[in-house]
Amino acid sequence: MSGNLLEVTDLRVTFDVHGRRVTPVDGVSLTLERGEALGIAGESGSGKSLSLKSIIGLLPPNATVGGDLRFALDQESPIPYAPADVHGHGISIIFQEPMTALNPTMRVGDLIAEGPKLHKGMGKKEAEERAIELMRLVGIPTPERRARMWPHQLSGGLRQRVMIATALSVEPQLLLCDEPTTALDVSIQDQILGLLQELRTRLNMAIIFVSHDLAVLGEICDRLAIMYAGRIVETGPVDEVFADPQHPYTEALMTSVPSFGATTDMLIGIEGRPPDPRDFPPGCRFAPRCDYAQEDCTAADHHLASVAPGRTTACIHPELIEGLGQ
Amino acid sequence: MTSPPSPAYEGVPPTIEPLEVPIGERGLWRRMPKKVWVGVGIVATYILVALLAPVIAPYDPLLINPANSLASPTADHLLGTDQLGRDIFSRVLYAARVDLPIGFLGAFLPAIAGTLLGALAGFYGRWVDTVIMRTADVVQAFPAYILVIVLVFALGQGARSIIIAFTVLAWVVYARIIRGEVLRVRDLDYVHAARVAGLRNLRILRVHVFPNVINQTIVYLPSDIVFATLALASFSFLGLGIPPPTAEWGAMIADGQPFITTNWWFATVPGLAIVGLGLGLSLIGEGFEEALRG
Repeated sequence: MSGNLLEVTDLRVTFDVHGRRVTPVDGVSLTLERGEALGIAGESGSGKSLSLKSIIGLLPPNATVGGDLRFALDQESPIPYAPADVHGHGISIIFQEPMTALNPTMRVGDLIAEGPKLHKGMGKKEAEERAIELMRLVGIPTPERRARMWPHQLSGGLRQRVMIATALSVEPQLLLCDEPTTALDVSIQDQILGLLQELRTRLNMAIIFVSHDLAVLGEICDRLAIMYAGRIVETGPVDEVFADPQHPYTEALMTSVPSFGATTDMLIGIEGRPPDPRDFPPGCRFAPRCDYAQEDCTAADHHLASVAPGRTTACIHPELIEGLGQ
Repeated sequence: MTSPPSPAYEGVPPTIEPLEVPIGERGLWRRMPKKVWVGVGIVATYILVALLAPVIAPYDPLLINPANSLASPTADHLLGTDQLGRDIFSRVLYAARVDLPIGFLGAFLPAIAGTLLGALAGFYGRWVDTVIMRTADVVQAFPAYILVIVLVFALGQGARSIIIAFTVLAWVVYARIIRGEVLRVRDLDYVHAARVAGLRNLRILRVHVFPNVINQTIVYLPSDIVFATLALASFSFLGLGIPPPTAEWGAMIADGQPFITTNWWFATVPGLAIVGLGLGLSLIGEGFEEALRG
């Protein structure tokens, strides 16, 4: 069965900070098909993580969420939902920091068993067995023994696997990943990415993966959305975006990342700093830092225009982009 | 929509990762510094004395013998007798049966009340927080001892009133400490994860928040028992605590004070009893702090 699983339209997150309204997520729209893996890339403060958390209502109490969120929980097509509707059903999340993502006062087996006990009506014994199954599923060796351990007895990679097992315990159709590999060293990072990729295919589970690391996103995602200053500036299939960015920010992001075996050893930083959400520039928000900026950029309305099948960009002058120094 | 496919388990590549040295749940007890055990020994002795007072005390602590008042220590009366001829040694032993329960209850009840209220205030926020913490402000606005005196007068002298007064007063400290801790833990990822897993508020509070903030109460509690015991002795010394003729250390110090130049042991020994208990509890408290706050 295909069709959209999640539809986010004009998502807006507003904070009331001492009487001033700050909008770090300003009109984000996304769709996600069943089983699809979408990557959201952007700098710190671009609003990527806030966008992700507003999908399941994990924002602080002083935040207001606007826009339309729809999710196909048990239906053919997505319908509006409240975060509480999908808690424990349909959507799970994993976090960046495996140190703080596991309750230090609970044995990991008990932690994983919580979801099945609550939502599947399993008894203690049954839920424990289910927890061990899940630990085996995420590749934890000798799960029977490790289920009785405390989080501090496990390595970072194992903790991350426990977190994934916990997230999977409610059998989600969508797994939100908030930079789950950033805190891990590269070899473990690779294992976790491989695991997520495998689980995704096996469980036909959609993924939204937020990261600033383009290489990680390239490895796991089908489609990419690039965020800048609270807005999505470009979307498209991963390979196409990498090969031929249609927004100057995407291009700048890629040239500022070292790549192994690259033809050029020049790294080009992006001039200036990301704008302060309290004071976004008018028009295209990247214009002040953009090499290709024209007069009319500062007056441009934000609009994602289709430039090729499956590809959109917010840039009004995509024809000016030279490509990646071929 | 059918339910998501059941996971298949075969073929997951085993991952070999180095195991950290298993510490096990007894690790915490092994980590306790020696002073905790010294403290536990001292406090256990006090508890034993309180329990066994009727067996080891040579005399009835209330038995008056005017003919033999203010006697010096002898083999018969190890610590002499007081102004009414009662055996001081027996009274010191029996006083443990009064001071210990009041000290412990007067610290445990506010610890329980304050911890629960602070956790509720921090976890639920909004009006729950406002009501609880403004009440705490009101309690704290009164000078502590004045508040206890007023309450004891209002409720009538006696152990029960003192415990109630301590509870009304001392919960505030726990509420503040725990509220702050809950505010910190409430936004940790594992609490968020529990929320996303669909756990109800009360379960999140009980399983994911509470066990991770309770350390602070445990660290503070022993020093609060010291405070409660000292406060009880102070009030009894002032004649506001346990009414006579019950043996109580503070009241005994007050009784012995006029005779400090002639019968120095009369006031000093009950005083040392309080100091010893305070020392034992302080050792426990300090040790807990080292072990739990690392």
